[in-house]
Amino acid sequence: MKARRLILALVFVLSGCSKDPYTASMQASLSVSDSVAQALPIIQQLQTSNLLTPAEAKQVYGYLQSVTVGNQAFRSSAKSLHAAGNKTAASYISAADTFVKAVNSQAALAAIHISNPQSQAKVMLYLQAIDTVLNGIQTVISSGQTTPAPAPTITGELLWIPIQ
Amino acid sequence: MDPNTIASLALAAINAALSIINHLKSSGGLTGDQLATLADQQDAANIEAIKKLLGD
Repeated sequence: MKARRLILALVFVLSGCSKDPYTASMQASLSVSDSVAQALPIIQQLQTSNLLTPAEAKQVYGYLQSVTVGNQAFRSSAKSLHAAGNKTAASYISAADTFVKAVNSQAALAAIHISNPQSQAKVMLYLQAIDTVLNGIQTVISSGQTTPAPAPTITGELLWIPIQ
Repeated sequence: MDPNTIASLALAAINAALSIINHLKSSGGLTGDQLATLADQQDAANIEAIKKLLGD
């Protein structure tokens, strides 16, 4: 069920439903927020089941915190652009680029090591999903379209990997 | 109240917020400002939950 919600969030952000860059930015930002919210109970569940050590959980929470703080900053930039009457996608894409670079998710994910292989797989599934949403923000803003954009590989994987 | 219970309550609040967001999304037609408000609220809940999960 949680995986389904996450998939829906991914599909939502990648579908490019919005028409103006500000709304697209806010929609994409909300999808990032949703993705983080979906991951939190999973991490807690693994930790309380002793499938994740406190140190490992702390690493993951730290990453989710940095994504959230970056997301807030991105939204703040987008709001400023909107308040200034800026309607060009390039400005919003630049703000999104700053967000994505600040999170530097690939490096952050590579630094997270979890000893239990099953836990590692489950955690990475969620974190990669967040990464996919992050990297989809600029696509959503630039497309400003109403027709679905091609889904990335991770979406397909998520559809077929069962989550307990 | 023990930390696990506090964290669980924070996560329950997040789930409640997600349900509302999903409902609003399904109704469609949200403006940028409405989406921003929802994201602000969700991020605030996420930050709060993370703090509790970290034991801060």
